[in-house]
Amino acid sequence: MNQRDVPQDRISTFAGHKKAVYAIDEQGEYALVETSGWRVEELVTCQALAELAERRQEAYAAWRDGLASPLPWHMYNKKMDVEILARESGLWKWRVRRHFRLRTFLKLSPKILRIYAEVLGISPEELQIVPDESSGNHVLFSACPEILP
Amino acid sequence: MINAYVHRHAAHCESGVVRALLEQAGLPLSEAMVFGLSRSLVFVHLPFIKIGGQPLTSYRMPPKWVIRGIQKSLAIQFTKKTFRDAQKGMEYLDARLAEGKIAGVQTSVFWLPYFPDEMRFHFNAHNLIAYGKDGDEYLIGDPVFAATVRCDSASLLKARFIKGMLSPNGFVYHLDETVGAIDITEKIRPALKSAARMMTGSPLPFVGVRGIHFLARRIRKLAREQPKHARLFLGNIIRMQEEIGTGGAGFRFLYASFLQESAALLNEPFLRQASSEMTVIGDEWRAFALLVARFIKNQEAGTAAIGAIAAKLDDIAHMEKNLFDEIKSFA
Repeated sequence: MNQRDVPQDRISTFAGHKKAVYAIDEQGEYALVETSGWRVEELVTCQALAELAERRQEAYAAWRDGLASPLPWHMYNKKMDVEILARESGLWKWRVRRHFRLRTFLKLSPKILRIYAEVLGISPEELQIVPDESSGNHVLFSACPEILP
Repeated sequence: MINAYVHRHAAHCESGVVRALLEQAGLPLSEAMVFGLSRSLVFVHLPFIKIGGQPLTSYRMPPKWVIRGIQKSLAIQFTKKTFRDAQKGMEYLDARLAEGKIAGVQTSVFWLPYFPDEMRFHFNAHNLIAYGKDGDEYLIGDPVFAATVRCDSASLLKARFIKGMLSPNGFVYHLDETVGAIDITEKIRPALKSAARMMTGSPLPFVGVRGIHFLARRIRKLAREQPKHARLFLGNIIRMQEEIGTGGAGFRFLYASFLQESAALLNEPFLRQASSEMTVIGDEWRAFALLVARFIKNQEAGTAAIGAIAAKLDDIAHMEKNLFDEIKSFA
């Protein structure tokens, strides 16, 4: 990659930061060049964020309809999945999944609730409720950047 | 306290941190040289290890390889510590900083407050330099960022002692003594040979050039899957190639820079040529990423687009095979 071809697309997922890439100058010599991002990278990051947001919205709907506990919403809100939540809390995956059921969740001991709260970086009280999704920041796949031909 | 440390932006966290530690110990090497000498370039696609629901694809050797590789290559020894007790782990780092020294620290990306939300993911093998402490805040040189940053002690503790995959267990590493003059010219050929073997001689179908062909075959099968599944599968590969701090094209440009520097040090025109070829290969990886991005955004392109993406990968595999065969016979 030539230094003049290093994308400077000021992508949203860098949040104003710059990353370092290696590229060649006119004489063919390599050097570190700062980049404000490439739209291709923005798209795939955005795609991953949109996927998490979609999961979180499903978790919100399930909680609102009384079909699930608040735990899955908090899990997706912290960009986790069952695998990560189970590993970080030291619980079996099947146990974590059981705690997605509202009735099981309501019977959880304060100790287990504290473990989840700590792993998620929130208070045990916050774990009990789900904030209104309509006020949240949604990342929509349809809003991810277009790649020009 | 603020200890002597010159921050430099780097493409990759681990090679950036090891470079900084070496420089502090009196051996100024470039990031590319550190990456090359530690034999860190590879390609792997492991369908049976899932991260975030997607198979693991990596363009470099696993975490801590740069540290181990540079130790082996230069015959030096880092002091490496992990801790069961988080408090002890923090005290150890504080004591090190109080001595006026710096240290490499392994952390989770997600719990570092200075990362913008968009860049945060659950990756537990991120490396940074701690070079001082001001009240409750640690002074951090994070290679991914252009400038130095700060991190409160509670967040750093959480980031260092997170449980889960690749959990750091408070991992801290540093060089205690000055590294004397090392003639790196004689270290280059063995490092080249080792990387070439890894790329071309793997007995496993997931690794090296075989791994690239293997991934191409899996991509062809995506045509039969749900389009959304195909998009997420392919998007994840590009994230591993571009997003996670590779210097572009999955470390290929970084490696090309290493080849170029080696050419000058050894006065070998072949390596200069190899560097140019690696640059072309890197450009092809970027072209591959562009094809994937267009596929992700234009669902109508379907089977033909998937075929083109897989064909591009097969081309890249052939190019890497040829180049590493040449490098092997040179080394």
